[in-house]
Amino acid sequence: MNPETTTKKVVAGKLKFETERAAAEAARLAPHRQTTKVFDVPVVVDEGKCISGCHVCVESCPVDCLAIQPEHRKAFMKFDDCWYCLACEVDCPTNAITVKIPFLVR
Amino acid sequence: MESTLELVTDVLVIGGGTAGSVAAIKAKERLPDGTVLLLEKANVKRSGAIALGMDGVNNAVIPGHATPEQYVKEITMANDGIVNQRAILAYAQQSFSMIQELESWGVKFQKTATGEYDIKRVHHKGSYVLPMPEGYDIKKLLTRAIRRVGVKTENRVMATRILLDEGRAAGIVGFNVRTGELVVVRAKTVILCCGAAGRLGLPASGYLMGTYENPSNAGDGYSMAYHAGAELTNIECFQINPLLKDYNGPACAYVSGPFGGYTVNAKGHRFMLSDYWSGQMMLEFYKELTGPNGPVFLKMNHLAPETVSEIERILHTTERPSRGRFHAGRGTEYGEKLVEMAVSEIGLCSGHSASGVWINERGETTVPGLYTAGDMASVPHSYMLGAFTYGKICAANAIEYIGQAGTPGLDDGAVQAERQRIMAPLDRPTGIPPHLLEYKLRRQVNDYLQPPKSANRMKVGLEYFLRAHEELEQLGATDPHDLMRAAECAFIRDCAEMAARASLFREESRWGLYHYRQDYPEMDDVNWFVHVNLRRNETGEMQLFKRPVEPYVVTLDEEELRGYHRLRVASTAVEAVN
Repeated sequence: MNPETTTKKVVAGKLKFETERAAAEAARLAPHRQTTKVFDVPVVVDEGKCISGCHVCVESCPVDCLAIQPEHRKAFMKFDDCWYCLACEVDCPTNAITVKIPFLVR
Repeated sequence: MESTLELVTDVLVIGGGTAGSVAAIKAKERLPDGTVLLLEKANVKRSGAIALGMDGVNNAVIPGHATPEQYVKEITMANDGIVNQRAILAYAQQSFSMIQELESWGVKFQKTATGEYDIKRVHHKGSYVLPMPEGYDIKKLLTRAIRRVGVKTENRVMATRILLDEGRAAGIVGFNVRTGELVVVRAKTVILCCGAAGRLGLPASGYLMGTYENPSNAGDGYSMAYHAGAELTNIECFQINPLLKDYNGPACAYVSGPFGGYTVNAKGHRFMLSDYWSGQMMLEFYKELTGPNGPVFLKMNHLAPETVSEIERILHTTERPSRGRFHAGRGTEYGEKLVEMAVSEIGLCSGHSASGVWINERGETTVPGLYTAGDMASVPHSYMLGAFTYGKICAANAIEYIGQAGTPGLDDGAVQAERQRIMAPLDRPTGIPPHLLEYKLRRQVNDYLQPPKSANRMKVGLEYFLRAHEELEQLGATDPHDLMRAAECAFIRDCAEMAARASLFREESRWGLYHYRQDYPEMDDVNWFVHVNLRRNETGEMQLFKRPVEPYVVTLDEEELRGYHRLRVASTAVEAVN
């Protein structure tokens, strides 16, 4: 897409759009872009202790934030929704799970 | 994800937590040859408010310790008179048999050496607290009973709309939150047990899921009942609780209180006469917290080491067991330091406050065939035992109802419209991630609706909640999990709009902090001794109106009615809240 054919040229200190309403409309229609950042999550699974094929913790989670990794079928925290309720930790048959209080709450 | 799971049942229970488990069990017991289907968004073994157990019953009406009439009085006082007493009385009369039934399922309550129920006093007037020191496995016992009686359970299915047939409840539409498969259930009767609207305000920690309530409870039931045309009541009577600061879980006064723990200000002085959670108590708590003598603490460091150990044993194994590691991480030993407290985010929850879908003493909503129990039903301060008891009451009356009602028809148009609505975020994989919209909605709830309230602020908030309809249309999801969070955003928005409109409508202050209006600071019994109810009218608009308080079955004199207005220790008087 050639910017010159679609909108006015961007010049510092000048408006790119005819009106602010048009600017807002363009912003609203522009596609969303997402970034990924890996950070410390509350549910930590000791893969040495976690049993392949077991999914007790995944079933226990009230907010469904755990899942099984397809490659070696061990549990991991997939979604950042943990309520630090300890259901997964309590129910794990091999004590493979440690739940940390989320950093913002800790 | 085009496939659909179609199910047909006699009784449909939505939500397998405290109320829903009992509703399903009791319905199946009464209908041995019929079908009872329980839908649960999580897994019944660990779902709802008591997923990790409960430390006690806060409102047991045990013969010899309290009478149903006394209990009705106490709850009427704690709610400034705006109650449907017959609904509270039905609970008070039937709750003791519920306790006995729970015992028959294996639940253990604390007894004295002579085998009596070991009742404690926490309320302002009477004694209703019954500890359950081994309450950590209560959900396991309920799950066992669900299986034993033959209730059919579908886990990880989230209902999103109630289907109607000529004005009566006829089933639900929803989806499987793991596979994304659409789920359509046809039922002769629907019992909604979806818990509180627990993701309404944003906790002070800023952590989205750091809520007081189990965050699975996003207000699903409030929203579904509203869209089905049911009346909701007391929505402006918000839930706000005194909690462990940052951790945002209960301390809990009902556990430590009977052992001698109590709430103090920064000077170490007691300032409240009763730690029982009520709006009036919360106002005193809030005044102290935000005043010159704040913050507020729970004091247990004067207790004997054995007593502290016993409190720790209960608090660190039931309800919110991660309290122990939270405090250990901060080096807070109950026996040495005061434990800092704060107020929770706002929510809607009749279990602790009074907001809910309007029900009568039979658990009936204003929509035929639609029943509701637990934290989302309008019986105030009903707690866990209220949820159990009304689960049982709903089951009995729902079974009676289907005896005279045939199988309802299926509204295909409604099913298709709902499929389109809930699946739409999948067509926008790069749309706004649901957690961002949720954060924004809940931050606005804090900014504009959190008490003390004022019309000017709430109107600005309401404008945003209406504008948020457009933002819901921009939500994107790439998997069924996010689809669940997207659907919850709509529930949260609905609850925020209800909370704003109901709070604007009641032009007075009532229930202490729960509905403290800076622009109408006085309680006004002449104009506002009524329920504020709301419903979706025929043209799809949110309509608010006054519903008279039903004649009392237990009378109180003027003095008694104001019984909860003197909760402050006289020597610690403070200025009014700004």
